[in-house]
Amino acid sequence: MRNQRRNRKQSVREMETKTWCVEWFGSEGDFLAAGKGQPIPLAPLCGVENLYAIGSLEDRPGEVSIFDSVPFVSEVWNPTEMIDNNRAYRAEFLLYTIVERWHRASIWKSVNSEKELAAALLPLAGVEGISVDEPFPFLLYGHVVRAAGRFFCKPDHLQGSDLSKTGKSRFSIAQESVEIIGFYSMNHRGILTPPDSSFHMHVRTLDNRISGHLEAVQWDHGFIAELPAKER
Amino acid sequence: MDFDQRVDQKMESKSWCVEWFGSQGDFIAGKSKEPVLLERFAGLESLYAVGPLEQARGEVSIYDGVPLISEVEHGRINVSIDLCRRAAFLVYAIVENWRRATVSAPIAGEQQLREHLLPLAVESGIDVDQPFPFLVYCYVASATFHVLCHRTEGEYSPKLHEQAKVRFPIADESVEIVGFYSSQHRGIFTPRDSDWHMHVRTLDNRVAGHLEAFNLPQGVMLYLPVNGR
Repeated sequence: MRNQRRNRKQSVREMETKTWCVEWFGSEGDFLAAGKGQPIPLAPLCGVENLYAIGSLEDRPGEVSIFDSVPFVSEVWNPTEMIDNNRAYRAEFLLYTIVERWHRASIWKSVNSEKELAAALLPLAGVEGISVDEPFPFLLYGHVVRAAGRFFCKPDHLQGSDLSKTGKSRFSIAQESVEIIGFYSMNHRGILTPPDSSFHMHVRTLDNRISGHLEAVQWDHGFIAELPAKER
Repeated sequence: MDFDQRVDQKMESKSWCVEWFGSQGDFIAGKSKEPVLLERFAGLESLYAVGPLEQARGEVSIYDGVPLISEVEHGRINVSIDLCRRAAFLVYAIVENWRRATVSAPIAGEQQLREHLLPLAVESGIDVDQPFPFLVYCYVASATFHVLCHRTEGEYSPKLHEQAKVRFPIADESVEIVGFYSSQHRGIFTPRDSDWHMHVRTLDNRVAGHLEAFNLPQGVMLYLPVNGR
């Protein structure tokens, strides 16, 4: 798997031409293949403004989610699924964006699949001048009927453990309000997104009780979507 | 100057504006002139507004161009989406882009909200001596809001206004708040004793109305208009 990593100069160049950028360290494929990644300490990211990121913890079944520079770390063996954002962690894979300004749009209809989500989001991205051939971030807020997700970990980590058998590596949310940070790319499957999806999304409940990798979500009342605003 | 000209002129100089029709003082005193037809806002994108329904029959809250009408029926709130209604007065904003700020500290009441909001607004280049809008997303431990429910015909008055307020609690829920802050418009589009006019809705749109008090222990996601184009 190609390990795509760009340097700071490239990030700066991207930010010079628009008010947002998407970058990543490692790849989801490398992470799942185990042993090829270079862990990224999260501490240096402290102080970066307007930062949103998602990733997987190094050597642990857990997830990193950064919402507006506020990091959330979730691990399966914490029985209450509480989020500890005071400890130092390293991520094996991290996909991040810096967005200075957002354009909001309200979707007032039910959305129950990734296909429907793409149908709602991609036209909005077009309005904002975003090339949907390139990765772009988005935020979603709303009240979900159901959502399900999991805490990813390396396959070898599961060997000998009963995490997968007990289902502790999964979580579900019902009838709750959530925030989602997501990335869309149709050209980075296995790199930024899972092999079978063009979306990579992390969710958190608004009371910060649960956060993690989102696999499925069902909205009955629609949601608020935010996309990076175009230069006007 | 008609409505479209007002908006165009304001939006020429920056990417957001605050305007209002009528006043809270006239409304409470029973001296409202022309009600505000919500239909005139049809098709207007990025619109946010708050106000009471004509004759204090309920509340109007517009979130991103979608008008939520709150009315009390048999002691319960009914929220509908309806542009064919009229407001007694209305303060509104058109905001193209928002800047987000995350406040992690607990916020209990207007004073603590002010302590966070005003520095962030100044940092965003907003003149806080002029009215400005804001949005809040948060988890609410407890809040109180009201929906006006004036039933009778005839002259309205401050006493009737107080009697028309039907108060409801919100507990342990996530909400969106659209608010307007101004230290210069008491009795115009904020109450006589406050610099705030805020409406709240639960994210499932089950309830919506005029926000009176709140306790936000988890902090908030705060959105302020982006200056410049």
